Amino acid sequence: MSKGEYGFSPGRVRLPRDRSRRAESFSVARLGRLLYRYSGAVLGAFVLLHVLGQGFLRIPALRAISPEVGSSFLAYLQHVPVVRGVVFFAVVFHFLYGLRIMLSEVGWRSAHRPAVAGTVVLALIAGVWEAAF
Amino acid sequence: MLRHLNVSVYRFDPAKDGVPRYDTFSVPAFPEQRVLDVLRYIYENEASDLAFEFACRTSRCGTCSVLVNGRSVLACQERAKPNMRVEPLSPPFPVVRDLVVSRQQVDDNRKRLNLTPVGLESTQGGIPSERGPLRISEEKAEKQQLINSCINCQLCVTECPAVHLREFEGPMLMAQLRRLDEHPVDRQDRAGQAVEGGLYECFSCDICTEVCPVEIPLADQIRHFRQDILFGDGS
Repeated sequence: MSKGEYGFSPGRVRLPRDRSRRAESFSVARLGRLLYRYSGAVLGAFVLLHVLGQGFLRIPALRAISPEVGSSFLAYLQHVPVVRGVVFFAVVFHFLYGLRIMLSEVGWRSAHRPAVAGTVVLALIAGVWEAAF
Repeated sequence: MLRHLNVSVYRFDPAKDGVPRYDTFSVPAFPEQRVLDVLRYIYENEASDLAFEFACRTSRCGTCSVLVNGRSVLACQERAKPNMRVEPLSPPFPVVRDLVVSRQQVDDNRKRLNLTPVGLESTQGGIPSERGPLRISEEKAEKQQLINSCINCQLCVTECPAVHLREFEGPMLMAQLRRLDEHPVDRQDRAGQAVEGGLYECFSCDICTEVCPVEIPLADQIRHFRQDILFGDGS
């Protein structure tokens, strides 16, 4: 494209602070916030179900309802690879993201994009590792 | 062959319509076309009653803020997409008509909080310049300038999850209060105003920092403000 009388190519003109594909761009901050929420929900649900499973195993009144529920339920929670992977991902992500928030409140500075991306990668590694091995 | 954009625009006139609707328009596409160009085309050729706002067209005034496909953007900057849905910044702002929202609440808050430096001298009717120009460090001046470059577009307020879920007046006001808290002349209790406005309700998610077209690190301002309140600002 030839340069015009003003010395620039019209097609390449950029207005200052031009971030013009915002609606299509990937929002790391939004991803981080959603994952933090969902990982918290997964952890809450896991703890609740785990306590319930233990209750069916150890509390006589619950055990009387169905003796197998506790053991089969806990076995499902603890031995299905995908469930273990999801729980490990949730534990690692929720811990690291929460730690970052707490540290940033007391003065630790980190660029949020690399911090969230790093947290996701570490949590993914933990989750996949746990599910695969 | 001329390409066309498929544009769905939010339409609502509280005086006439019971519920909002979406009108669909086919708009000719051209290179470097922005959302504002599309809205102007629709207004000039298809729907002359479409209400929308703009002024500078160079991302300096913050009046043309809209939602495009659910994300808050400046219409004058955002590139038009082949399929897009354009909506007003609502919630949290009430719709006046079509894409125009009322920013009365923000204006009222700004007025209530008096977002100009209020020093001892000015409250006594005098001016600091009687003692010569006020000297402040270059670092402080830069900080003041950075937050002062806010264009009041309200993108951060629209995107902030804490604004939607909690009693939080939004990142923009918090950053302005932080600026005044650090201002060498200002003597008002800005920290108290910020806490009243929900300073501790912020989730620290950094979405406001990401959406700010002026690239003000809004979440950092809020975190700094909290630290200063908790641990003292060292001054």
